Amino acid sequence: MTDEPLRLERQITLRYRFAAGRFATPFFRALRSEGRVLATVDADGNALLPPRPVSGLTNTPTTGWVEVGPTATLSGYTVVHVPFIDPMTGVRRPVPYGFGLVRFDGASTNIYHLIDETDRAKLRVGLPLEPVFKPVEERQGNLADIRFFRVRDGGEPAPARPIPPPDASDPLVYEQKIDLPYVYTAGAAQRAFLRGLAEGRMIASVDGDGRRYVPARGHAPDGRPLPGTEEVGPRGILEAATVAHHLPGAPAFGLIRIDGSETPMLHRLGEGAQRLGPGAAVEAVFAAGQEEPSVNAIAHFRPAP
Amino acid sequence: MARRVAIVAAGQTDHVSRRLDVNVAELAREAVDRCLEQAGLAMAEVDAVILGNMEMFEGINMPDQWMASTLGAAGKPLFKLNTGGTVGASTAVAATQMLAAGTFRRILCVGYEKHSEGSVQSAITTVGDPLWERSVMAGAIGNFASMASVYVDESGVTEEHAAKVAVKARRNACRNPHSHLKLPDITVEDVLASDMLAYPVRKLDMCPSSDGACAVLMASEEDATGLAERPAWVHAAVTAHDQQFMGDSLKRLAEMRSLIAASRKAYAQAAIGSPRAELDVAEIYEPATYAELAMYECLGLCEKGGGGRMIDEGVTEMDGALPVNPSGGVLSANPVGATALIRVAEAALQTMGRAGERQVDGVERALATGYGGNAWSEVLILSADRP
Repeated sequence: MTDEPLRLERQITLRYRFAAGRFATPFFRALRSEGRVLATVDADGNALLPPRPVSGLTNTPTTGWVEVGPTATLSGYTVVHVPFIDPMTGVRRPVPYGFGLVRFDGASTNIYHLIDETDRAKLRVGLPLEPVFKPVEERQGNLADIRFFRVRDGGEPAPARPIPPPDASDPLVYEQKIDLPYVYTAGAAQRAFLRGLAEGRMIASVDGDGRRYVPARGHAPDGRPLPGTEEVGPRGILEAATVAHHLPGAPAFGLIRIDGSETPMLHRLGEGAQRLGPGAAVEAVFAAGQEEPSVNAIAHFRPAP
Repeated sequence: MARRVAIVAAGQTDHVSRRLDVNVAELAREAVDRCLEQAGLAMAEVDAVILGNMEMFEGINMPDQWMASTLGAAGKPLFKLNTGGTVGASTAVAATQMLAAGTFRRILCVGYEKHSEGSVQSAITTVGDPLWERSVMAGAIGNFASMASVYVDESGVTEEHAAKVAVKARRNACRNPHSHLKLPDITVEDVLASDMLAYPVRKLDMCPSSDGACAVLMASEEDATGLAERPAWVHAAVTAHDQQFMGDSLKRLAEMRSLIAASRKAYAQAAIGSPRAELDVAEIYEPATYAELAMYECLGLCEKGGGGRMIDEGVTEMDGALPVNPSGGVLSANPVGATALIRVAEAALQTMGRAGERQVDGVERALATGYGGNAWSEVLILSADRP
């Protein structure tokens, strides 16, 4: 059997619903509908953007709200040449693009944003900027409602203007999806096990005293290295079973101890094994046509004759 | 009265771009075996394990559950930490506190990452605030480069200064069998000719992505002298945070609030008045050349704005007064979950006189740091003298 590396490519898609809360809700409403930029102030007069309940500069609760900007100043900058696939959108950003730390005039903190300038000789710390908004009907209530910042010609920077606490009722909720691609590299024992399954054979790891462990693994549960392998099964004893009524088709799952193994393995129960209980004898049914090594090379376990 | 704590052994894998022969647990186990072999301690004699890793890089949530047996931790306390890039050093700080409190006597700290298995860009995006940062992030390099520009503006360091750091790291790496990026013939000109990734950061200014693991065995004073001839005693183990949004710390690299706070507290604990004169070697977490120069300043190894002169004068070269990163540093190997623990391990090996070809002569006191994207900093000070 080959022992070439085995890399299994997978992707997890994470979906969330984030409550914006009492501070981001009024900020994003004002940004989206009026193009206004709101911040919270602390006891020392720092205007903190994003707005927040506690000042990290004083470690005390913030005391009120101000409106800042929308004019801004460049605090730090770069021109990005590395290809970047935005995992939020799946879209590759065209390079090069300008990017930097931007401070709304009157604010005490920066945000990161895109800069409409790719000639870095034209960028410098302290450069006056202004935001370029998307049309109101295209805004979604996030920082991308500002398309980018561009260099501003003249005009006095506006100071922070105190405002009454904005309405935070009817709080916003944001749905978000992130694609997280990853690869799982199998170890030597896992490679032997998965490639064995593809040939309809079940491989156990074996210790120096002849104890077997299924699925095959590099180390015993107590941490000892497991140097050898041995073919076992495909019969075993059901140790525990359940029917997942909350899943489509109410599939049954069991913990099966393959004959001779110290450890049980988790798999599906089928062909009448769904109603079996602990102590019943079962056997693996191998599936045909699997594209890559996987535990799905076992279709399920069925009652053993 | 708190117990004294020491590092008694350290082990690491050879860090490379892709380890295709082992899974994550087996990779970590390699470092564990090398560490325990150095101490002559059986796995069963370890009281507790602290594991550091950034889960999103491999897409394996709760790796402590997956790896418990392989780490010899089944039936024992196994604590999983994630503090970003700092996490490896965080395991050592946490172990110090537990050992000092007398909760355990022997703790194994383990850090690992297999960058070849994940998508760095997607994983880094999950670190950003969902509403405020994810929609406008530019990946780790874009964010870092913006910070570096602030430091360049403040300090006047040049790209030649940065290139000298790149050369120092990759040449030092040639003496370290574990290092990933060994470039014996690299020159300043090579660095300046390498691709611009994001101004001012060029390809050779940046750390690689590595697969690797590190393990460090720490013990309280009852056991330390029995497990090592010359333990590396912990004189300070400090962690500090910054504010919560990426744009909050205004000067970013130029004035790293968390590193300044953690280092000053550590110097006070270790009774160090002049770090440049009193430290013999430093292993710092420099994700890029510009960060190393800024960290010289934030750590108080030179005056503000003096980072460029420090590298010009060769102070931090292997034969300088205060060698920084004899191992080759993060610029030469970066398996993130292990990286800060490698700094601690290397500082300990220097203190113990076990650093092989990269050993600095006469090390009595060593500094190690961890860096978590400006959000966290960890500072440890180790010494051959029992406190």
